[in-house]
Amino acid sequence: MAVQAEVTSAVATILERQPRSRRRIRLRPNLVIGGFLVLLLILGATFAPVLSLYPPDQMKPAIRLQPPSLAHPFGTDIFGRDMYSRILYGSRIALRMSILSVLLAAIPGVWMGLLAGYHRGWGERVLSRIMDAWMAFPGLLLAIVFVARLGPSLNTTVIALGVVGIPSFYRMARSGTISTSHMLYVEAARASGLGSTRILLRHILPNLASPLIVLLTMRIGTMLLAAGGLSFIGLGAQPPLPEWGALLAAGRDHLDTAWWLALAPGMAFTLSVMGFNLLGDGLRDLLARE
Amino acid sequence: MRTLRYLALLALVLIIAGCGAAPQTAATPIVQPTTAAEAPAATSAATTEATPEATAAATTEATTEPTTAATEPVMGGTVTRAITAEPTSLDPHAAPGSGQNIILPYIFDTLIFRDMDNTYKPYLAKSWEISEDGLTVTFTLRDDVTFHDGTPLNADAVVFTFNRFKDAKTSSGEGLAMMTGVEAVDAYTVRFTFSAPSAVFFSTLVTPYAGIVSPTAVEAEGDAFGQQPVGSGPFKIAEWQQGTAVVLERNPDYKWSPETISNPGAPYIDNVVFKVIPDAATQLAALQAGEVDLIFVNSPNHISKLTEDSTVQLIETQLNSMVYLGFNCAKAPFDDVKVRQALSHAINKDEILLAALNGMGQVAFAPMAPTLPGFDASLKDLELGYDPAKATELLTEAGFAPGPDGTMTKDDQALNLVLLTFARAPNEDVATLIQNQLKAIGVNVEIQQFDTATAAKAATEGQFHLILWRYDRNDADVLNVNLHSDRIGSSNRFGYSNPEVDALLDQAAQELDETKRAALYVEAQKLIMPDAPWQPLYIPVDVLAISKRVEGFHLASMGRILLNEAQVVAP
Repeated sequence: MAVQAEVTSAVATILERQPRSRRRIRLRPNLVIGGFLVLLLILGATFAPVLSLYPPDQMKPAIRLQPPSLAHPFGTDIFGRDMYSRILYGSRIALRMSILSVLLAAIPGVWMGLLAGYHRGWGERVLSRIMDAWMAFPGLLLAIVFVARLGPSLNTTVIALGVVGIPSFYRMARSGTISTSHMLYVEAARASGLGSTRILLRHILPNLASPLIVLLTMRIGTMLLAAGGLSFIGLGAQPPLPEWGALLAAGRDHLDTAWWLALAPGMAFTLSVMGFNLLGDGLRDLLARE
Repeated sequence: MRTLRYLALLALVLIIAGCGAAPQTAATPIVQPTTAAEAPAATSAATTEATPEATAAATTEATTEPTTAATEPVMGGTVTRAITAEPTSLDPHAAPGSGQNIILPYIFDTLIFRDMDNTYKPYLAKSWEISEDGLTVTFTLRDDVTFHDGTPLNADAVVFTFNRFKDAKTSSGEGLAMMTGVEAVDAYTVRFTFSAPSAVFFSTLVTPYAGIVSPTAVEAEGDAFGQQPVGSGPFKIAEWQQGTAVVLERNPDYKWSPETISNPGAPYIDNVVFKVIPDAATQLAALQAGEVDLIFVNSPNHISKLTEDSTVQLIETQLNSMVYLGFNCAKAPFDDVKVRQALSHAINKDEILLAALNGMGQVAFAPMAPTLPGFDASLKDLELGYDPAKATELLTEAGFAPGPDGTMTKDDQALNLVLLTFARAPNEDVATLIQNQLKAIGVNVEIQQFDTATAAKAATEGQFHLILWRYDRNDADVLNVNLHSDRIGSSNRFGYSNPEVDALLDQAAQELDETKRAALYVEAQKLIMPDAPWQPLYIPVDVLAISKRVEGFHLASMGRILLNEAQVVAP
């Protein structure tokens, strides 16, 4: 235990030695804008029942295809459903799908990467080759194959996208582990007889935190778009779910008569993906200096 | 650098938003998500309902006479038509259902031709004779016809074709079920014999699947015949660019077109190109950009869009189609007729017509399409019309009561149903409305939509409670095909069985007198409608959109377009 405390304090000293200016949070525009957009998305998703004006599935054929107005800020669709409320509820689906699929990729990916990077040997070589082969397939295509096999639904989309996303986390964790596993404090921890699981989780994983956070943020944006893409081609959300990709697909046919149907989900995608990417970018600038 | 990245990101988002599915769809044949289609070809699946052209009934005629009719025709040029799926084979006797029926009539001729007024006209056969008992039909053939490979088209070729057609393990040959034999009486006379009179024989003869094939080519090419088809049609195959297009060229020796065609000889145009464009929106864009001349449109939005386009001519086709909601009568809860009736009463067809179809089409009430014999307006009285109160009442009678969440429940079994359909506009919109309408009486519906092949397979295997489907058929035997209990497990996907209905349908199949046959079908419908295996929804509108740079299209029934007298009048 004493050894561990020493190591921890050593790490603390190293961190403190860094110039203050670098550690100061500089409010770069990408961080601010990205953070704002992501916050907006999260708030919208959380308070959808409060913020929405109508139930998202309520049909009123009498008021179908109304352009945006005060009563219907984003207009109404062919069934007379309020687009604003649908977009709002759609943000819940978008956020849930993207976060879940990223976690589904990150947890096994990072864990395998840690083990492979720490233990090396033939196990690592085999695993890395498998991951390389895995990555050689176009991800979205692979996801389409999965979903087509398993049948379209939100859950299969999440699973497919999660499975497809494993290698990028694996590679990040593996290379990070290889470079940190020879650090003095890890050697020290090993010498003091700590088990490998403990070393990986307590000493190596925290070191990967910055690149991991950046990758997670970026991947959420990517997955949001990928999940929307699958729904767009009819493989994700099934009606009447107000998934943005499905809304966009439905709106596409009405582009020249009811432009608002495609505009609202299109903007929702643009802003939220942009938000996650800017945020990831900003976090990278902020964190990845060590 | 960063700005660049933002721009790239924005561009990516826009690309995804804009063109969306197209690239992926093209890359993976397993997914045909938003496929709208030319022909309801797809609907018919491998089982039964024939594809639109497959089955040529009749009615609509729209001939655009060339403006230059009096003068010399404009020779040369190419007409390009968009097709949704690349055919797997152009052998008329290969499995149907992938769009080959659109191309077949250009390459292959048939014995007879069904005219717009529903009468049969000579084509390869000059005349024919039906015996008194209806058990033999004798055709006298033209003696001046040759196949593209030079083989003469004679009685032996016809006998060869029909033996091959009947042997083919495909549904397209089922109209020949009662045919016991076909023989050559002399070089240009063919006799068909039957075990019982067959009312569907003549409508089978006019399908593209009954095209006469060259026996020498079939024997020489074997399985490759589907890639190098040899018929006697106005066009012959020139090139098949796999995955992209099928190119046909004019048959200069052609001189045997049906008499309704003003040009008896070889076509004026040089080539017909069938370009594979899976996505309906892309097809529309290609037409408006002048890349293709002819597309089939069945999305109400696309039709409205095209009516404003002055460079395009719209021709309404008559495919004798109907879109219906089918119940799986073999499976709970629809093994109880009351539940079927209840759900039928919950459907508001006017709302479907307004919201999902943009007002295009007409509400249906009887199982027979209005353009087929056996339709009768008086059947309207038997319609299970929109009446939600009645629906709830019937569900209550059937033992259902609202559960804790409002869903109708009986013996702890809540009404959570699967509605199966194929992914093609406007099916999703119609299904969404049905889902909403059934929700109002406490029935939850999960919509499952697949590409046409997958959906057809699931339908045949009975993996559904409700099915949103469509038929296009040239003959009143559409009821035999879909609702006769003999067909349970194949084309009767509804598990519907009523011995009295079966008897009437059997009788109709052997009745050669059209009036008597129609009356039998009306009687059958009077029994079918209260049984409610189907809730007929609407009669769809399908149009052919044709660029005005081409004139002289000749529309035949079932959406078939003849190009024998087409001319490219503008570059």
